[in-house]
Amino acid sequence: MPPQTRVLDRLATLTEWVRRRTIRLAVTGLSQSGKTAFITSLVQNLLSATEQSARLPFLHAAAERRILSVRLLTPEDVGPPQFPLRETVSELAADPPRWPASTTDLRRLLISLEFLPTGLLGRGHSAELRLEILDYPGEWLLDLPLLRQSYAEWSRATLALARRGVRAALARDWLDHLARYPADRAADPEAAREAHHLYSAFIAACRAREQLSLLQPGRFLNPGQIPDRSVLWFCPMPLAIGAQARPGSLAALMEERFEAYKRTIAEPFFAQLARVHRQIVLVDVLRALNSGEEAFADQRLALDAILAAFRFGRRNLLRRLFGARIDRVLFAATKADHVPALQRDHLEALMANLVETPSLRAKAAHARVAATALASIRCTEDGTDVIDERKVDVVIGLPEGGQRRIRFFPGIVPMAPPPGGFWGERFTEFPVFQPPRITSAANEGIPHINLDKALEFLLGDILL
Amino acid sequence: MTTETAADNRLRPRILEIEETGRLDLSLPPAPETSLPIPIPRRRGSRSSLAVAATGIGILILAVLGIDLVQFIDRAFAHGRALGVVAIAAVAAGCGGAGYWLVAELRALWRLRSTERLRSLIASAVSSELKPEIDTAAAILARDPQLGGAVARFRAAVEPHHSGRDALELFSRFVLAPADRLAEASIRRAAGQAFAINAVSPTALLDTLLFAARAIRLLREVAETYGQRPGLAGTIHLLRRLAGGAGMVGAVDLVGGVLVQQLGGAVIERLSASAAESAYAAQKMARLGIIAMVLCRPVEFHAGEIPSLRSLVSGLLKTDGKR
Repeated sequence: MPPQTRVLDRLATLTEWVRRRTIRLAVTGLSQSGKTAFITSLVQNLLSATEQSARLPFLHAAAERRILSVRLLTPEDVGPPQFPLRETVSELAADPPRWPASTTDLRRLLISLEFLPTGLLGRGHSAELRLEILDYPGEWLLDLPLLRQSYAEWSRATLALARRGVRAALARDWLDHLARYPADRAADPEAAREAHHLYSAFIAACRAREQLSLLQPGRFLNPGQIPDRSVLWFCPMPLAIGAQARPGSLAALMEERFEAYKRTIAEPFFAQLARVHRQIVLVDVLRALNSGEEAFADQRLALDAILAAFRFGRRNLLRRLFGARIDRVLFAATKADHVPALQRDHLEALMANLVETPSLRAKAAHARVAATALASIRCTEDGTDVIDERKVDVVIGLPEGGQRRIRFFPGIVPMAPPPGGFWGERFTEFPVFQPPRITSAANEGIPHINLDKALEFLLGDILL
Repeated sequence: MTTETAADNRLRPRILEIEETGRLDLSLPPAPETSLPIPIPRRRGSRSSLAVAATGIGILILAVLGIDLVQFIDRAFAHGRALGVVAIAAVAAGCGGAGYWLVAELRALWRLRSTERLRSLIASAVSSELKPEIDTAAAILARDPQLGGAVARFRAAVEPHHSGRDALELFSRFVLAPADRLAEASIRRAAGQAFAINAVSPTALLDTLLFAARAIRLLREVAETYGQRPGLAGTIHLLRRLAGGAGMVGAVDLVGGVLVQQLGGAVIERLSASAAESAYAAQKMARLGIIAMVLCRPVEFHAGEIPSLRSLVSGLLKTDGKR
């Protein structure tokens, strides 16, 4: 082949690469952080971008009307089931509306954006961006740190945590059971199963009553599709530092199941997240803040544990396992519509502060990192009220199940993790607002706060 | 998110029920059809306030010079009723012109202060202060038929939940970016004319006078693009600020110097001495235009946003049919 032809071929390939790119976006977040709502709003607003570009003014390609068409695609390869977009939008658009149920299994969604590029190579022709979005139960994310822990390490860390603070009272039954069935006792499948049930009940109570986040393994709370449930029948057991589980003991049985869980459930799940290019980490900071000091600290701990696994440079765990390289990460505090405009800046600053350490790690690996506060579906509008003769900013919305709107004053959102003296009694009536009136038509979009800024950060460079 | 002290208890979260019922309706108003980048229509011919004022005052001065004003009307009536009426009309025209000029000057100064106030606010403003100022600036720019569509799109994009900073960014992108392009087009036109003036001017004095006149016109054009429409007082105010921007001139000179160095060997050496002078005049005019943009823009440029001489000069060499 003559050299000129080879060069022309390569140029054609390069041009084709510029004009058709596939980006895999991982929507990451702990349970109840709003992943399903985020994906629904993101896709619905992108679908409306050609007709309702005013919904996404901060997404430059939409504002400049360079997005020509957006289509939902049906993946051709065998993979996770499709994200139920139509059903989710119908639920939100119903009267009365329903918030989509929590995700129970891995799902994906593929959309195609045809746009006019402004770059040198693509100028003059339309280009295509294929965006693959992955949705999965937030609880499963906490299995990621398990992949690099041994059973003994995990057991020690979990037991130490269970004996402290609000966990201690909730863990009493399980800890009593462990005292009756010590680690070196002969393996007893029935005792193991009972210990598992008690441990599962303990972490479920931690979540429901105390809004705690660092609850492992994730499948104990949300099992998903598991053919053989016996692989779950384990729990942490007290093992001294440096000690090994005696073969044939109860601890050895637990360890065997722990390793099988990692091998057959956790690893295949994270393999599905392979080749992720962009990542958004959704965090419900406000709920944790209102749930008290321990819930807030626990959320931070959970985030640190997850993000420690997402190292963005060489030798990172995900990359070693699956070859992933994430070059943009956005940390987003969700439900920003629960605070008035002025406090959203505080929320954003608090978010940035919470993830300062993982941000530095990502930046050191030349990944771009940002923090924001967003509401995937804006359910309130701003207003003012007078409380104790002081004019304060509030948000106004219709609470779920209610008939009359409420004015909600969310307190003062600190810009940094608050000191010990900040915390008082918990505020347990954190409202859940009904979504605003939306239609299920794809060209209407969904009201939001800062979703367009998030999209610009995550996709803006591709849509240039 | 609660505190234990009595004073801070007021800041605890709380919920208050109100009388309003029903879900919120947060649908968007219909968006205007115009899109970015907006097409640049031909500038509508408008009567300059200065010209109207000059005409009126000129009539008055002519009247004073032609006839002794004190006796003008008396004498006119002495010669006949019709002439007396004409004399009255002449005096009335003079007074009307002066009044018109005064009103136009005041309006121009108000607009100038509006845009300057926005600039001064930006550094320290909170959302509640910024949004009304941006709204005022947008209302002023909306009167320009070339920017009306851009302002309409900006208003469609800004929602109540957007903060003042958000609104400012959208204002810069939706409204000021098209205004920048219009200002750049004015600068290119003026630079081209400065080149021509220098080339055909027979004397240095005439060249200087014409250059100064064109520079003042450019300053007024750029100011007008950003909604300021300066009158005489406004122009003097802008010229004073222009003179105050000496440091900026130095900076732009430096950029210009680099450009000349870059171009010098390849291009300028091949030009004749007079052509090089003309090119330098065009470059000076372009520099003045950039400084005028920096001074008149309601929102300061971010670093790297200021148009470069290189882009203006390359635009000048292009035949895009708009000049």
